[in-house]
Amino acid sequence: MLINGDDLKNQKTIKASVCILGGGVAGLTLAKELKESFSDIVLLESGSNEYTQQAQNLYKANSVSPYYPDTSVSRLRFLGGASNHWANNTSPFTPIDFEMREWIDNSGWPITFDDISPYYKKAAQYCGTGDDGYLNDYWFKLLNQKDSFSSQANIETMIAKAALPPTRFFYAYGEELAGSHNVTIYKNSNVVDIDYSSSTAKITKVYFENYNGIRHSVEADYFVVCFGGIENARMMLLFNEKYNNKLGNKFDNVGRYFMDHPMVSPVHVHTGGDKTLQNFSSVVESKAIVSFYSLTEKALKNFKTTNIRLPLGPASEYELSDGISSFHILNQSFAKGKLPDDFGSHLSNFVMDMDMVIEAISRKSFDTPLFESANDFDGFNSRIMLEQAPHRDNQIKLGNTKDSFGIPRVDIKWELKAIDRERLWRSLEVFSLAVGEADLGRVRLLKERSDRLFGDQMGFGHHHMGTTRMWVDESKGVVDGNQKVFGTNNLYIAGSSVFTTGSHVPPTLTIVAMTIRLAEHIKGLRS
Amino acid sequence: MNRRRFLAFSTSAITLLPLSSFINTYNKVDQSFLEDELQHLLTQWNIREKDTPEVYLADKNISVNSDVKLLKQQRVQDFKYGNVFILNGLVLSKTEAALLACTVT
Repeated sequence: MLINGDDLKNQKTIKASVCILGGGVAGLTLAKELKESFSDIVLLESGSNEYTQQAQNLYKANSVSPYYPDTSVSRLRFLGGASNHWANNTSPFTPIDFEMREWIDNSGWPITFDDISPYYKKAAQYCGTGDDGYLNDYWFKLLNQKDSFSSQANIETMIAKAALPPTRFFYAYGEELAGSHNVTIYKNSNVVDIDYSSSTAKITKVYFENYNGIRHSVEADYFVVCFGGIENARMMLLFNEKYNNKLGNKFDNVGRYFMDHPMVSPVHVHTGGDKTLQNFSSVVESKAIVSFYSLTEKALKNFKTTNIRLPLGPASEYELSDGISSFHILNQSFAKGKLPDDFGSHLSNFVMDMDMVIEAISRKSFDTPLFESANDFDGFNSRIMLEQAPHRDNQIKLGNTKDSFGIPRVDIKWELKAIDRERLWRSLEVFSLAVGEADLGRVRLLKERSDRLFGDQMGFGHHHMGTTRMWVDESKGVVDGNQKVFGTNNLYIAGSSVFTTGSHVPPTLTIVAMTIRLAEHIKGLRS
Repeated sequence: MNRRRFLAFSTSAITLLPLSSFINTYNKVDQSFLEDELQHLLTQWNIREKDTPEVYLADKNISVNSDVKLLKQQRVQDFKYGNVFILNGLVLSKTEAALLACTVT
C-alpha cells in the first residue's frame, strides 16, 4: 500500500514487524527483501513519489565547508532517493577495502569481502546491471579488447557497469511494494522522534509528522535507519541528544569519519598519438560496460597508498594545454595581489603554450576557434575518483538552525587532507611507472595546479560515507558487523553511512549488497 | 615548437630513435626553445644528481650512439625499478633524461 501521510487526520499508532526509516535505495531494497518473511512492514518516507520543494528544503545545511557541494542539490528527498538522478555506475569493492591497512588510520572493517561477495550478484540485478559479473578477463574476451596492463604487477584494468537507462529504484520496485498486502509505504511522512527503553535497550516507537503538522507513531519489533549517509548521522545525533548518547554514540562517533569521493583531473598522459591506453566503453544488452585503471592490491601494500579510479579519455591539444590552466592561476593570483606557488612553472607554461592561451581567449570571448590543431588528439586526461581515508574530524554535526519540523540542520565539516593528496600523487607515480614500463607513453603530474585541482576544480561523487561506521566495538564505531547500533537490541542502520572505509568506486552496488545481507540477518532473528 | 610538442617529442621520438638523429626527425623543431627546455633539464639534473649525465650513462655502458633496442630495454628497466627523473611533473626514465641532458652543448 502507498499512503499519503498528509491524508492521515487523527493521531495514529501503527503497529509493524519492521519499520524502515527512509525510502531510498537501501530502504526500498530492504522492504523488497523482507516482504516475503514479515507480515507487516512499514516504510516511512519524507518525500513523495516525485520531487517537491517542500521536502527538498529539508536537506538544506546550516553550514558547509569551502569547496564541498551544496547537499540540498546533490541529494534527492523523495521515493527512490539519489537513484532518481544517479548515473548507475557500479563496481564491487575489492578484498583489501575491508582489511586493516596499517598505513591508513581507522581502516579495517569487522567483516571481510567474503561476507559481502555472495550478495553482489543479486545486488547487480537490483541495480539493473545483470548477473554477468565484473571480471575483466570475461569482459575483455567478450568484447575483444586488449588489456594494456595484463603483464603489469602494479596497475590493473577494472570494470564498471551501468544500466541503460539508469535504474530508478522506486520506479523499478515501487509498484510491486505498494501492491504488496504486507508492505505499507507512508510518503510525506517525516521522522521526528523516537522512544527508547533503557531497560530493554530497544527502540519502542518512532514518531513521524506529515506536512500538516499531525504527529503519528509506529511501534515495531525492528527499526532500520535508511535515510542516507548524511541524514543517518543527522537523525542519530538527534536521537542521541535525547538519550544521552546511548545509541551507538558512547565515544562520540556518530557523524564522524565522514568521507566522499573527490574527483580531480591531476594528470596528462602523452602517447605520441598512440591510443592503446584508451579505456573502452561498450553497450551490451542495455548495459554500458566501461573499463578504468586502478592500482593492484600488491601496489597498494608496497607503496602504502590509497586507490584511484582512473578512466583515461582522449584529449585534444586544447584540453591538454598547460598554458590555459596556468593563465587562469596567474590571473587569479594577480587579482589578489600576489604570486602563485610555482610561479616559475606557471609563467613558463603560459609562455610555452601561448597559442592555446590565445585559442582559449578567442573561444571564450569571440566564440571563434583559431587553430585547427587545437582539436587534434594529443593524449589522454582523466577525471579520477580517489579513495579518501576516514578522518575523525571530517564530520556531520547538528547546527544551530532548524528546519520546518524543528530538526537541527547539519553542519558539514569536510576537507581533503594533506595525506590524501600525498597518496594521490604517490598512486599516480605508480601509474606513471607502469605506463613507462609498458612503453605506452609518458605521464605528466600536474602538481603546479594543486590549488585549483583541490579547490574550485574539484568535483565529487556525492557519495556520503562513514558517518555511522562499522567497527568491532563502539570505541570507533556506531554499528557492529551486522549493522546493529551499539547499545541497542533492535535498531539497525543501512546505507553507506556504515562503511568503515570508502574504496575508490561508487558505493551503490555495495550498499545494496550489504542491505540484502542485513535483510538475511533480520530474517534470521525472527526465527 | 611549444611545450606540448616538446612533450610529444620527448616521449615518442627520442624514445624510439637513436639520440644522435632525433633532432633531425622533426623539421619544425624550434631549436632555441628546445635548447631552453634541455638546458632546464640539465640544470635540474646537476642539482639533483651526484654524477653528470655522461658519467651516469657511461656507468651503464650507454651513449648517444647506443642501439635503439638497448635504450628501450634500459628505459623499461628504469620504470620497472622506479629509476625515474621528474621534470615539471613529466615522469621520464632516468636514462632518457640523461640522454636528453647530454644533448645540451
